[in-house]
Amino acid sequence: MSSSYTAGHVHPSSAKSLVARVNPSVKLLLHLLCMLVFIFVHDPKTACALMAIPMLLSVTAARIPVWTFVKRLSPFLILFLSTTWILAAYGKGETVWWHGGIITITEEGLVKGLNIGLRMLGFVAYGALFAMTTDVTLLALSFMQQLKLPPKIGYALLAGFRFLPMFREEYEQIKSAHRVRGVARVPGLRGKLQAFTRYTIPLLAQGIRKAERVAIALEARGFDGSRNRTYYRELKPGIYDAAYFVLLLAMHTVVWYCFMR
Amino acid sequence: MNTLMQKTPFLACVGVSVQFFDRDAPVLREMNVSIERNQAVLLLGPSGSGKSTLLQVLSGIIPRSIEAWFKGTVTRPDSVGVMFQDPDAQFCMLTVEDELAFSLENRSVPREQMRAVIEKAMRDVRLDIPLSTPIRELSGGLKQRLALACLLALEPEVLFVDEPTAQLDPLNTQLVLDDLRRLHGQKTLVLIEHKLDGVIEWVDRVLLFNAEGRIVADGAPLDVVREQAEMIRESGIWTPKLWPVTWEQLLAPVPHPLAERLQTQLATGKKQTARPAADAPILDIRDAGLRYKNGHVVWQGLNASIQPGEWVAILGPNGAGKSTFLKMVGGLIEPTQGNVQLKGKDVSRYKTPELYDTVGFVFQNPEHQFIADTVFEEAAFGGKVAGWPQERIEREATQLLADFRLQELRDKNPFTLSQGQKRRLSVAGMLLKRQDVLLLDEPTFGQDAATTAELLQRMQERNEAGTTILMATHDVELVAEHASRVLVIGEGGLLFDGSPHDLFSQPELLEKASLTAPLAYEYRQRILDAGQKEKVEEGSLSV
Repeated sequence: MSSSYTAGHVHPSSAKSLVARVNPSVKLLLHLLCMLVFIFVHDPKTACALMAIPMLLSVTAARIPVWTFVKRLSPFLILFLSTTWILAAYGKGETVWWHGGIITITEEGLVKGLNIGLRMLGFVAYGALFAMTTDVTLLALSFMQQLKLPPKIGYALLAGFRFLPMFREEYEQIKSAHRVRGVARVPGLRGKLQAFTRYTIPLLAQGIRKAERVAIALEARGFDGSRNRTYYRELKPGIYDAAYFVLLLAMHTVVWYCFMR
Repeated sequence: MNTLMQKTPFLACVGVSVQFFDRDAPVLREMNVSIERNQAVLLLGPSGSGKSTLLQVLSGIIPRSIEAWFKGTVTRPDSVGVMFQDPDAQFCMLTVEDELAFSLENRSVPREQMRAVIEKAMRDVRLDIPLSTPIRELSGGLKQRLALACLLALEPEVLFVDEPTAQLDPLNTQLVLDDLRRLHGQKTLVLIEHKLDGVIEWVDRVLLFNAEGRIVADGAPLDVVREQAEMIRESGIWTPKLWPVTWEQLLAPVPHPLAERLQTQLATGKKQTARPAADAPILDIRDAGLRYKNGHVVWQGLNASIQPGEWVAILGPNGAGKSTFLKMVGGLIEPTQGNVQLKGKDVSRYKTPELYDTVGFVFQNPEHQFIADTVFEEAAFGGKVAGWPQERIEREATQLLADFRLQELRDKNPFTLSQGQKRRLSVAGMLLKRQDVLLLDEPTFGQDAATTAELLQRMQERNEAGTTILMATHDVELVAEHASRVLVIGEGGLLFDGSPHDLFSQPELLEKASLTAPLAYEYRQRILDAGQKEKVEEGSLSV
């Protein structure tokens, strides 16, 4: 079981890597900063180089197998191609490269398309790198300890995370039950809407009840949502965070030196 | 008033009344209860009688976590713990270790002391699993014992327990009840539990509630159960199988009336061994197996052919795949290997409406099945879909509602019914079409004795009329009494296929499947162990 990757946990081959050891809050802030850099870039070559940073990090400093990473990004690759294509083919521009029917590819359109597409891919790459190297428990703890998120919200997030698979099971059950009872599937949008309301009521009823029970159980165990508590796992920013910061800075400097100067 | 009142009670409520905002009448009225240190008190009563409400008042959940109109005073020690029924709704962390630590963090226990407390709590409930185990991988039984460990880590003076074994298989029920029993005398215990065997023998005191939420008896278990026997039976409260009779009395040379009853039960059980004539099977499960995409094998190599009119019980430990098995038989999950033949045709080749005209499925959670806005529409739904004439729908659905004592609720919304009413409606809704095969996933789960007896009565009628029944359950007494055949699923395959009598005569197999023997069979085993051969040879007990 440990060999397969599940959402909310560090990818097994990444467990001892540098990126996995970085404090989740620090990692999140650094990644957000890096994403911000993309916004100031308007040249596809630079954007491409910037996008290579999280990809390179994923397979080196995070030790995620190349194939796993590619699979993770593949749905977004399609999105990238279609965005770029639409902007390139239909975007406004002066310098016409190719013309046929209603499609006019202009240089300006292509540049714009690549910029948007690469930016998006870069964001996704940072997101994937974060998700595959971060344990959800540590993330919540770090939010509470480093970013001073109120425990009331931090633990609610964790409890909610546990609920996700339960919701899916519950949904499957309801779907099966309705199938047995012969609920006719009205085709089209109206049918979808009907099915949606029919599923939602029992799902919500059950969800609310479960959530109430969890809340009652946790309060009965002395949880009051206040900051007045100790932590079994204390997370402190340390050497790995500094190392990761330096690494990211160095890579961005290289890109700046080669493309932006 | 007098000297007794001057002493501050250990755990008590005085003049407590509670009314929930969505109800017309108070649940508790002017309730006075006082409990001494280290006493073990069992709250007994029909469902909806206010037992849980009293437990929530005494433990402080009302008014702290549950909002309600509340009056009166409650005295309680500083540190109390509450254990709940739902194994999935007591945790917020992902691993065993973090969950135990969470309890300690809430009380600001210094970090350095935590590890030792965590290890001690694990030993207290005999939980021998790695601390890093993810909670979602634990079975219901282990989750309940982890929940207990999380409470004991806080060293509470009072432990409140609200139906902790409702969702557990027989073996895990025993383990959890044993853990609680070992706390007797060290902690004050306030318990609600339907499975009285394993509890009523050792508690000090029973508070008996009537349906109106008043305490009608308060005293030693023996006195309460003897004096109120009639009221207990009439209000549908579960009663212990054996207690207050002891094994000594049962095995005594002069037979106890219960012993005679058990002998009759055994004799009938043996007769049931006879299988119906070998017609063409209505269901034929051929080498069926199910493997998830992640490689996990639920079970494999299942073979069973079921004759029309059989009542088949599906037994097995929590998490063995009983529900999944029923779903496969009902065409809701396709096996990854082998197939299921229904009346000689592969289930996966049926069209959906055609399949569910033949097979009915009662799901574990009644709410999942509810489609219509009123109780009547809910019962009539199957007829409407099938295009029956209005007058036939009206007649048959009304009859069903009458059979299940739901006629007065016919215009209510199904979601507003009580637990027992919901269950009765979900079964009623599935019976309208008179399908040949009825699949039921733990239909008696969480129901009181009265509702259970009623449901079984209705199913018995259908079975006698020729309906084939497959039913997943944990209730071995029910199996001994009603089923003609048992399939035991466990350890990734079919552990047993045969009569209930043969199954319950094999103690090793029962243990492997997390089951316990029904009382009659335990009785037989004890007689055999005691070497009272003469009784064995006399008649019905022969092996």
